[in-house]
Amino acid sequence: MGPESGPSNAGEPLIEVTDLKKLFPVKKGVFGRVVGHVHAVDGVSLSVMRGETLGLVGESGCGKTTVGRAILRLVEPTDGKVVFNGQDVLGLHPGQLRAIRKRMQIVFQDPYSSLDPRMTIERIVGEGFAVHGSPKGSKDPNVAKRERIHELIEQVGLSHDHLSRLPHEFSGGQRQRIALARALALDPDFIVLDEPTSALDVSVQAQALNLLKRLQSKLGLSYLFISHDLSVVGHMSDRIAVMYLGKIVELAPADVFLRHALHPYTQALIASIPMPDPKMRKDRKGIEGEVPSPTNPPKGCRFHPRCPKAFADCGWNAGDLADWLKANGQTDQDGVVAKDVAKVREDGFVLGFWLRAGSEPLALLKFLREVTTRSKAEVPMFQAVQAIDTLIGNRVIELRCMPLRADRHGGKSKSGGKKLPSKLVADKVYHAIVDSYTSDSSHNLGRLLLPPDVKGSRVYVRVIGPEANWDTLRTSLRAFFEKRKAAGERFAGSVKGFSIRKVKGPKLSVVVKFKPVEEPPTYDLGGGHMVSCLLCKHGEPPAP
Amino acid sequence: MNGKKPVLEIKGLRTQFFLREGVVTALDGIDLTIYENESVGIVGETGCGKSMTAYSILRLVPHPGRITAGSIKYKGNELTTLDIDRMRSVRGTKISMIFQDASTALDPVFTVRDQLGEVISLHQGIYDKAALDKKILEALELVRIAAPRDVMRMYPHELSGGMKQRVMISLALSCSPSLLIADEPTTALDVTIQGQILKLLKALVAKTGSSMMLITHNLGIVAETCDRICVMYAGRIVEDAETFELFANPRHPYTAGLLVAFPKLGEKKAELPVIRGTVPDLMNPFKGCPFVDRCDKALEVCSKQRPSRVEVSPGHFVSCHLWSGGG
Repeated sequence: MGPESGPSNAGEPLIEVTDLKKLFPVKKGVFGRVVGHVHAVDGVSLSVMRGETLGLVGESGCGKTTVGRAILRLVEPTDGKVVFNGQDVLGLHPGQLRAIRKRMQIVFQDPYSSLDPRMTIERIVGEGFAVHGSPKGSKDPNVAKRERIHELIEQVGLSHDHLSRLPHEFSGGQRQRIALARALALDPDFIVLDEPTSALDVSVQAQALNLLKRLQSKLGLSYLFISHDLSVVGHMSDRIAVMYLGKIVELAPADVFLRHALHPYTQALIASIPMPDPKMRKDRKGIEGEVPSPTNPPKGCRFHPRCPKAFADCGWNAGDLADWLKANGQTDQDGVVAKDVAKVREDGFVLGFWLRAGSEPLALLKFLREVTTRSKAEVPMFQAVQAIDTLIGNRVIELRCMPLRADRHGGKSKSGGKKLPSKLVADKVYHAIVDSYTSDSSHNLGRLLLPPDVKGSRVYVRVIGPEANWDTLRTSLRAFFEKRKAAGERFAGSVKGFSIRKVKGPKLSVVVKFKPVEEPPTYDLGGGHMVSCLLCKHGEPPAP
Repeated sequence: MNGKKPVLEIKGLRTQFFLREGVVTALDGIDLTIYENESVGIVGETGCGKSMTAYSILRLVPHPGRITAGSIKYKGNELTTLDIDRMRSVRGTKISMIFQDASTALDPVFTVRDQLGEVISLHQGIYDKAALDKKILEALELVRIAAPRDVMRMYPHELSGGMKQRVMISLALSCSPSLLIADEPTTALDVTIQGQILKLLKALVAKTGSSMMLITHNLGIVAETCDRICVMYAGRIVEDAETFELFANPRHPYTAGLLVAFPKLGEKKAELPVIRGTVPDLMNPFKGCPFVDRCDKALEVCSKQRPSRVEVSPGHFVSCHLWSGGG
């Protein structure tokens, strides 16, 4: 099964990964309090067919290495599913896992630290036999083991007089061959190659890549080839997946990928590669900015702050506006924002400016509105602005949710006759408000409503704009739940309160509210080409 | 070369390391001239002496290495015999260098302001705080760092890899040197950031009118950035030519081998052509051509006699017996 035989007819998948997640906790303080999570891998789905090479590319920190390790359970995934040859890898207990690890191997990036400096090559290559037993055969196990090691070392292009030497006597390319021999020792079906050639020089890299391809066609191996080098991945892979900040943004067969990449990030990656041909020297456009922190990845599409094709729906939010104001010098000493504002608070799709004591909001409001109208044409972020207004920050409308008792008559109402604790009622109330107010344009209050807060059995709703909006909202909410109750939704009847309460907070602040946007779904464009970008929403590829 | 003035002239440069085990000849007779407003790329594999060339020019060869022969002239002035104080005034102001790994080249316990300020005050004699801050800000704005006022107050660990490299570039350019040596300036960076940094370097070199010597192992980078390319192998320059000429007509078997061994995007091959074997040990002196053991076209003379540098076409030099014989 050579790489020429193509991936599409290679049959069933050997590895199937569904919605894989790995969060690393960020700890702080003496007691290691968890203050957040690094979303290293955040919902990755992919499959590797038998005899296929799946390339995984991305910049450093995008989570590609973590994907490789999580598949082998070298790091324990937080969530998701990994199926190897019909077996759920994540549900296995240690003994079963050891058996399956025989068939899944890994070659690490750095051949200088992945080989034990005090072991001879023979011990390194034969280490797998110490765990899994000597290779089968009628002969004496030691002889069988020895013969197998000799066979392996010749397979990777070294000779058996190398076997008694130590790793330091070898060059980087030779060390990587030794690591490969070790991975092959137990006859695996699947090998994760984690940047296997990035530590090697060009002339040696070519030798290593050829060896990998030759072994694959001879032994029918499947590879997950992880690399940051798109040229190398393009050469090696049947299919290629691109990762950005813990997500796969595009996945396509190699030939489609190189000619018709659709995701703006993939296009930027391809455009960034310096071509070893001065005739193809281009006035490189590339992309601006740097990869954001995976602790707090951007809302909506994760690539939108750097995307040259981003438009209004891509997920612009408070962080983007804060960055824009900073980059345009508005938060410097003499900027408009700095004069009246004590504190800028980012909260998802809402950016709040806490005013200094005695400051009037008018100047700031006028400035923000002017900037928005002026920059709408060039900066798509401003097209996503829903409202710019004042907020009375020290009040909320409180909805108290009562627990639902089991319905004796049963079965008549839509929500069923089940018992429902108050917390779950609050959750339902929250979703009812979010769904119908913010997504339904018939409620003109939706534009002005801030995302509600749920605390236990209470739901707190806030609205921006003048005093009068609060009363309108109160009336509207009452009517809304009356109507839902009349429609037979029991939870709507258990909402009480609707009173305006005083809370801690600034008396008056200014907020900019953006349209809330979900992460873009993955669109299947046919032929195994998957793109996660809103530009592909209508099934038609965006203009290159 | 068409009446341009040379900034740097290197002739027969040899740098050797005297170890207990023997003598390693890191550079073995380098001839290289860099003209005004020119960017020259030095390519080669690990250990071929590209970085050592840079260190030798700045006389920063680490112990137990020494320059043992040859001359390095900066605008006509010999550098190899200069005393330490004079040499110090050359570094930074006349020739400056961007190091490969910005995260280790910057001092972790000083802010960006301290580090840039030190260079500017030492070389330009500006000590007044306000004037210095203005200069530092200018230097940071030159490399297009976002929010330079904030960056000034930061320590290196607070900066990303790309930002650190930008700070390094602004350090190197702060005293407007006439020659900038960039040693693998983008190797530690991601492709998209690499693109940004290369674009910036190119623009700055064009703007300030200085010459650049770009050291890299990536043929793609020199193809896009440099006017002229020198290919190094085992401490020698085996071929040098203008970029277009070199990529169109590589004459040395090593250059030709390197060019095809590089996987190209969109070109699907079953196997990549390879250069067999590995880089030779520099401890053993070569009688002939250092590439002879890996060369498919080697002649009998190749292992016996050192090839001389011949001009095969105007401005295109090769050190190979295949060309010195018949031309």
